[in-house]
Amino acid sequence: MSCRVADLSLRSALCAALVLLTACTGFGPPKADLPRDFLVLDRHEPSTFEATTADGARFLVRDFVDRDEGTLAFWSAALHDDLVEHRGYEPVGDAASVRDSAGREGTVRTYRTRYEGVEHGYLTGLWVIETSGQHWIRVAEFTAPTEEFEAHVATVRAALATLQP
Amino acid sequence: MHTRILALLPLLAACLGACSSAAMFAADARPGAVAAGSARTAAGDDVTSDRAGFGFTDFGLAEFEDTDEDGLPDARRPASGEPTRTDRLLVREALLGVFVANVTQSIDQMNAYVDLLGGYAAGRDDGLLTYRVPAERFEEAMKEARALGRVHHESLQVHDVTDQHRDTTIRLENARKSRDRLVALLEKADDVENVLRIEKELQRLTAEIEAMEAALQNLDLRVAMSLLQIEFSPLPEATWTDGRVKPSRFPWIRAVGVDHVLSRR
Repeated sequence: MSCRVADLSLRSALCAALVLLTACTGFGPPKADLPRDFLVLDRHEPSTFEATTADGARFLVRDFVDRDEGTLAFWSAALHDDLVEHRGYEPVGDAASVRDSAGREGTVRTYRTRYEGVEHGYLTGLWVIETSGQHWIRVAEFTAPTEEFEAHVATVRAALATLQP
Repeated sequence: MHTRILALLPLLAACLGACSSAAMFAADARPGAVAAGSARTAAGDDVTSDRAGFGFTDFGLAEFEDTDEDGLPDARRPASGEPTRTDRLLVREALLGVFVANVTQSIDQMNAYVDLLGGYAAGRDDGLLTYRVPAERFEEAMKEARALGRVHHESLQVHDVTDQHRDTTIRLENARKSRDRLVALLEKADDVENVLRIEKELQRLTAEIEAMEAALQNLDLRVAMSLLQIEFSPLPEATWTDGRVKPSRFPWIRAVGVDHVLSRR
């Protein structure tokens, strides 16, 4: 019981810290404009934006603190290498450039893979954001079984350009 | 006259017997029929490779290209003199194993591309697809197949069949000349016994000529149309969580991926 209370206290402290950090840096939780067939889920996680469709496609944006301060090219290559060489993801096409609502440049890539025996599409969008001396890695992910993925991927690509802040 | 004809027959038969060995070249061009092992380049080197990701030009094969303007090999070069490096007749056979996300879709794509290159699907045995592609476009076909997924196996064999082709051609020409001589003898033969003996020899010789012609056609096909075998397999579900692959050293990379997105509650 005491552990649980301590865990809750720690979470609250982390949330408070993130809110404070957001206030100090002007860098808030991610948001994106999605069509009505996406339902935005309220996860109470300050650095996360999550949405889903009725047919199970999932869209997730998360911000990670980057103490290593890597460049976009470095992180993009590192993620691609891990997915392809270590996890067997199959790249579909080349990397493309994408800009969010603030005009920050990112990269977007698409893959095919299998999850629980079913072929899935997987899209990643990646940005490296520096604000008030703090470096962040913003990762947008979209995945679904191939048919559903193909049905929504154009919408999601368009939504990447609306990501803010 | 009869005596002379009869005396010539054993001599002819001996000559023709030498031609018979050429029939063994009529073997099918299936890859399994090819001796696993060596193939010789113009320099007499063995050319067999079995590894992932090598380039076709690793063997300097561009130097050995032997095609006419229509892209077909010139199998009728003068027999006199040794063939130069560019005269060599090469049979190329490759086997590719490729992981793909969608096997059916990959097969459809490969079929369409081979068709575009002027090749054709020569067979299918379970997941193993066999294609024939024009030799001069072999490398393009290999690149396309590699691009469809992740290559986990690649092997290439190059067989130099120049000597085999030349020997068969010479034997065929000799056999045809012998057949012409037998026909001339037949026209001059005036008793039934001699006619029967010559006709029997003609039958045997004709069969051998046909076998040698088939063998040459087979060789020409194998030189002109390279063999490409591809086995498409579904991507393995290997993630770093199953212990088979090394996890990334960067925590945020370990936290992304289809399994992480879909396992969120």
